[in-house]
Amino acid sequence: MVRKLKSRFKRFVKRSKGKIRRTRYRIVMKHRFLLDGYYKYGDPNRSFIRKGIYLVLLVFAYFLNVKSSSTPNRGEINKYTTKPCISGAESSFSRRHSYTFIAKRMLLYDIISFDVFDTLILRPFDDPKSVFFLLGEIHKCPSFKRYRILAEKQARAEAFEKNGNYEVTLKDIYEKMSRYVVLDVDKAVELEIEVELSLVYANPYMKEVFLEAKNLGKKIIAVSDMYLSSQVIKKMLQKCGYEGFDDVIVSVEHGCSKRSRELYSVVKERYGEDSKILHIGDNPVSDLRSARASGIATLFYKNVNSRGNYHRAFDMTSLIGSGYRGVVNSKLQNGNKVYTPFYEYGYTYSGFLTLGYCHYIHEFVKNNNIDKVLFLSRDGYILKKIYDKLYPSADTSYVYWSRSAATKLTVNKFRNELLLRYIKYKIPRQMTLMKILRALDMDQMSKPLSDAGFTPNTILTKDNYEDIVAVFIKNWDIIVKAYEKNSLAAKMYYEQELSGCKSACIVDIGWAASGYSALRYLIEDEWKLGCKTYGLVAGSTYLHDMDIIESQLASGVVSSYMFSQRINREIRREHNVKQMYGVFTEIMLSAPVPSFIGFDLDENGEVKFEFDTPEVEGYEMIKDIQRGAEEFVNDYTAAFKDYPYMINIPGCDAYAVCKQVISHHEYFKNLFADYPVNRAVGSASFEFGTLDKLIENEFIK
Amino acid sequence: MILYYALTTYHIQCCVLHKLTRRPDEKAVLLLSDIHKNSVAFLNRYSESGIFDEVYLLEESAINAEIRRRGSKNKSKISILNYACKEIKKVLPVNVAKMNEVYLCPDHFPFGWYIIKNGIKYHCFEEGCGVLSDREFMLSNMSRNKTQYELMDVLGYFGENQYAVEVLADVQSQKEGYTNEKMTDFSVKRILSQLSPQDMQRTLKFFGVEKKVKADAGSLGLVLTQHMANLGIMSLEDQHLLYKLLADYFIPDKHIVVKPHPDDITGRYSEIYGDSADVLPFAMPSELLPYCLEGQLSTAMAANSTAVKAFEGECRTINFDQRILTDFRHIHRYFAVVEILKQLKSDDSVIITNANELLLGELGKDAGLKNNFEFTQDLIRGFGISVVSDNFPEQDDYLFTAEMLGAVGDKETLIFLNEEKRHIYFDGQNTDVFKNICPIFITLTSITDGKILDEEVVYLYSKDKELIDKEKNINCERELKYTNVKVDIHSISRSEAEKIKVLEGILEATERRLKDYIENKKKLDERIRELENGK
Repeated sequence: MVRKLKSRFKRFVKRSKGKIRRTRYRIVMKHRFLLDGYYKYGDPNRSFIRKGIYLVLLVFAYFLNVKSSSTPNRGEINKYTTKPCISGAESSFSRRHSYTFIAKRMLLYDIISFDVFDTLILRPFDDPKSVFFLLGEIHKCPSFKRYRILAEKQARAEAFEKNGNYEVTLKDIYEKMSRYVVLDVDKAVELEIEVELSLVYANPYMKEVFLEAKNLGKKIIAVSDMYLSSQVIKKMLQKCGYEGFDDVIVSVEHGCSKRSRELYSVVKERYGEDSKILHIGDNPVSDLRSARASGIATLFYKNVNSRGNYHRAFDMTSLIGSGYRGVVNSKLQNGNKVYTPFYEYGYTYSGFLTLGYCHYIHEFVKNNNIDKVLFLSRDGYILKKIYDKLYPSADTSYVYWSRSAATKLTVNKFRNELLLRYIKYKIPRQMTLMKILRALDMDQMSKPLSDAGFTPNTILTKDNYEDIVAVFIKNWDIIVKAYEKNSLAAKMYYEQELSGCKSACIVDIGWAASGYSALRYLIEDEWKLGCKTYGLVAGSTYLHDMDIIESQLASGVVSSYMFSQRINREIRREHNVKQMYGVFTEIMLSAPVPSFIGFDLDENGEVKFEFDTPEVEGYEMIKDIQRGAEEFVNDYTAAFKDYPYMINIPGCDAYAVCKQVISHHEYFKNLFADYPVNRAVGSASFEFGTLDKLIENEFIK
Repeated sequence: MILYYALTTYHIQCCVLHKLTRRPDEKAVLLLSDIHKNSVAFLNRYSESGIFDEVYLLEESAINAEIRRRGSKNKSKISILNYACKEIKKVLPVNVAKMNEVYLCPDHFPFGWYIIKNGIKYHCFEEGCGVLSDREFMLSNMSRNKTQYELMDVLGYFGENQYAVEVLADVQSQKEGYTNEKMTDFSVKRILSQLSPQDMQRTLKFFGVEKKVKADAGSLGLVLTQHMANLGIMSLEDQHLLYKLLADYFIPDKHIVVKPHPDDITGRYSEIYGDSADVLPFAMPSELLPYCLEGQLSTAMAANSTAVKAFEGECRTINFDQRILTDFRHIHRYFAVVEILKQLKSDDSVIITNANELLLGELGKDAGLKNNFEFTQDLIRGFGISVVSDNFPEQDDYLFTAEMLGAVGDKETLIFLNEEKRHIYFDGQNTDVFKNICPIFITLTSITDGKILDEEVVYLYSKDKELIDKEKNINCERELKYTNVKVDIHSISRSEAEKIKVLEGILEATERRLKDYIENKKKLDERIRELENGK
C-alpha cells in the first residue's frame, strides 16, 4: 500500500514538473522581451523555485512597461534552449530499432514502402530550404531563398484553387518566380535538380534496412510527397546506391499526396487491396498517421534533424549553420552506429573549429604570400593533420615549442615571463625552491639563493616572493648563461625548419600569442634567420592584460580567427576564462603526445628534444577526439565538395559551436571527469590532476 | 480429419513428416501459432504446398503476451489459465470437437492448455530431438515464462497428463535407461533418410528450397551461421566481416553454401559472397541440409556452433569456440605466425600462451604444418617455439615476460602476437631485448585501389641470429577476395623504417608502463586513505 502511494506520488511530482516546465516554455517563448530576460540576463543556476519567482517578476515587468514585444523566431529560441548531450554519447540515445527487429517485421509483409527524403536519402542541411542559398549564389540573385519559398507557396495555393490539391511541379514553381526575378524556367529547373542531385547521400541505417528488404525478397517501392518527378527521384536513389525498386510513386505525378492519404490509395490500387504493405518514413503525419488510416502498417523513423537539433548550436549564419547541423545530425542520429562521447566531441565541436580555422589559415597564407606554415606543438598536431589533408601542396611543419621552452630561451629579453610563470604563478601551489629550480633546470641558482638565506626547502609564499625575485634579478647573467646551450639547439632546429623561407606563419590556439611573440623575437632578432614571421591564433584574450597584443594585431603580424580586440568583441566578452572556457576549448585540439619542455644538445652536438611525462591516461580519449574531428572534416568537405565556399566558416560560427559546449561545464564534469590535466608542465611531476578536480577547484560560478 | 498444431520450424517439420509418412491419405489441418514470426511470413507457401488440406494461423501471440503481463502482476495461475482458454476459444479458426485426432507440437503453450483443460485426447511430439528424457533442460527453457512454468504441475506438459494418448519421440536419442509408456518412436533423421524422392521434393519445397545446390565433388564449402548481431554480441558489420574472413582463409576456392541460423534474418550472405554462393532459406530446419546438396561437401564450417558436428566424418569440419568472436579481428596476425612457422621448418610442438590455438591449428592445417599446438594460460619456458598473446587479464605480466626473456635459451623462439599492442616483451628498461627482436609486418591493402588500409606487426624473439636473418626473407602475399584485401607479410632489413617502428614500440611500451605505474599509485593512495580512515 505504502509502496503504491509512494510511486503514485512520484508520478504526480514528475507530471507536475513536466506541466510547469511546459507552461513556462509557452510563456517565455512567446515574447522576445521575456525570452531575453529569462535566458540572456537570467541566472541559469537558480533553483527551480527561484526561477519561477524570477519569471513571475519578468511577466509583471512586461505588463507594466513593454506592452508590445515581437515573437522570437525559431533560431532565437533554440539559441537559448538547446544544449549538448550531457548524459552520454548522443548516438547511444538515438533509439532506433535493431536491424533484426526490422527484418522480423518486414518478414510479415509482401511490400516494403519507403519514404524518400530524410528516410532513404539525406541532405547535408538541417532545413531542406537551405539548398536555395546555394541556388541563389549560382543565379547571382540576392534574396533567392525567400523568392523561392514564396513562389512555391503561391504555386501550391493556385493549384489548390484549380485542382483541389496542393501538388505542383518544379516548373510550376519557377514560373511563379518570374514575379520576383527573371530566369530561364527550364534552365532553372534543371539547375535545381542538379544541385539537389549533387547534395544527396544515402542514409547508412536505411541502406542497411533496404538491403535487408531486398535480401528477404520483398517487393520494394518508394513513395514520396514531392514536386520532383519520379525520374529525378529514381536518379537520386540510384546515386545513393539504391537499386531494385519495383516502383517509385511521387505525389506530383498523381495529383495527390501521402498526407491526404490518397497517394496510399494509389499504392493499394496498384498492388491490391489485400496486399500486406509496411511503410517506413520520418513524417509523423504523412508517413505515420495517414498511412495507418489507409490500412497500411507503419514503422516510424524519427527525422535525424528533429532528434539532433536539440543538441546543436543555432547562433550561427544561416547557410553554414544549417550545413553544420545537417552533417552532424545525419552522422550521430541515423542509428547506424554508436560512438564514444569523445569521438562525438571531436566530430561535433573540434572538427568544425579545426576546419574553419584551417581555412582561415590558408586564406591568410595566400593573402600574405607566406612560404611556410609552422604548427606549434601540441595544439598544432591535429591542425596540421587536417590542413595537410585540405591543402596537400602546402609547405607545413609541426614544430616543437611550448611556453616553458619559450620562457627559458627568451630570458635575455622577456625577463618578466620567467618571473611570472616559474615563480609568481606557483605561489598558490606552495612549492619549495628546490622544485622551482628543478622545473627551471637551474641548479646554478642554488648558491645565490642560499647566500641570500633561502634553503632548498623554503616554501615560496607571497611574503618571500619579492626577495626571491630580487636574488634572481641580481644574478640574471647566471640564468642567461645557463640557457645558452638550449638556445643554440633551438636555433639549429629552427634554422633547418625554415631553411629557404622568407616568410613563415606560426599557428597556435591562443590566447596571448606568447608562443608566436617569443619565436618572432628569436627568429627575426636573436638568431637572425632572415625570415619574417606572422602569428595566427584561434582566439585572443588574456586575463591579466586584455591589450597584450594590441599593437601586433593593429600592425597585422598577428591575426585572430574567432575573436580579439579587433573582431567579435562581444564574443571576447562572453569567453569566460574564469569558467574555464579556454581549458575546454584546448581539449578540442589536444594531442596524444607529451608536453614539450625544451631543446638541448646531445653528446654528438645534435639537437635533443625534451618532453614532460606523458599524460597517457588521456591518450585514448584524445585519439578518439581526433578521429571524430578528422571524420567530420571528411564528411563535411565530401558533402559540399561542389560548393567550396561552404568551408569559409566565419570565426563567430566556429565560436558559436564551441560555446555550445564550453559554456556547459557539467558536460565535461560528466564525460571528461577522468581527463588528465597537468597544471605543472615542466616540473616533471608524475601527479596529474583530473579535469573533474580542476573544475572543482578552479571553476568560478 | 486430423488437426496438427505447430509452433517452431522443427515442430512444423515433425507435422509435415508425420502427415506424409503416417497419415498420407487422411485429411489434415495445420494450425500454426503466430508467436513464431516465420509461420506468419510463410503461411501462404505452407498453404500452397498441398501437404495439408487447410492451413490456419492461430492468433496466440497477443494472448501469450497478456499471460506474461498477468503473470508479472502476480495474478493467480488458475485465473490466467481460465483467461487463456477463454481467449483461445474466441480466436480458434477450427472446430476442435470435430477433429478425429489432435497432434500437438508442443503442448505447453496456450493452445495446449486449452486442449488439456477441455479434456480433449491428443498426441504429443517431443520438444526437440532427444529432449523428452532431458526434463531439466525443458524446465529451464520454460522458466522464462513464470505462469507457464507454474502450470506444469496443474496441466502436466510433455504428455504427462491423462489426456495425452501418445508421445512421439526419437527413442534412440533419449538418455540411457529412459522409459515412457506413452512413447512411440518418431525419429526425424531416420524418417528423412527413408523418405521417397517425391515426398522429399515436397518437403524441401514446403520449406522454400526450390532446387538443390549442385557442385563438383569436393568443391562445396558449407558455412553454418549464427545470429550474433541479433543477440547483441557484435554489430552486423562485424558479423559480416567475421564470415567473410573465415571464408577467405578456409574455403577461398570452394563453392559456398550458406545455411543461416533460423534467427539470422539480417545476414546478407548472397551479397557478401557474391554469385559464387548459394544461400539456403533461413527458415529451413537444419535436418534437411544434407538433402539440399548434390555433390560431396569438402568443408563444413561454423564460427562457434555445435551444428557442425553433424558433418564429422563426412568432410573436414571447422569450428571454434567463443574466443573467435574477438580473435577474428587478429586473424591476419595468426596467418603471419603460420608463415613464420613455415620459415622455421620445424615440426616441434608449439606452445600457445593465451592465444587461440584452434584458429592457429586450422590455419596451420591449411598451410601443411605438422606442428602440434598446445594451449597454456600462463607463460612457460623451455619449449622450442612459443606463440604469446598479450591479452592478459593481469596488468603486470610484462614484467614476468621480460624476466623470462632474459633466460631464453639460444634455440628457443617466441612469437609475440601483440594484438593489444602491449609490447609485453619490453619491461620499460631492458632495451637489450630489441637486439633479438625481428618485427614482421602485415600490410593490408585494398585490392580495388591499392590503398593501404592498415599495418599490423608481430614480433619474433630469438637469440639465434641465423634464424632472425632467415625470417628477414619472409615474403608472402595473399588476396582475400571476400574482404577485398591483399595481405602482404614481409620483414625489412635494419633500415630507417624499422628503426622508427622499433622506436614506436619502445615509446608505446614506455607509455603503457607509465600508465600502469600511475594506476598502481592510485590504488595505493586509495588504500592509504582507507587505512587512515580506519577501514
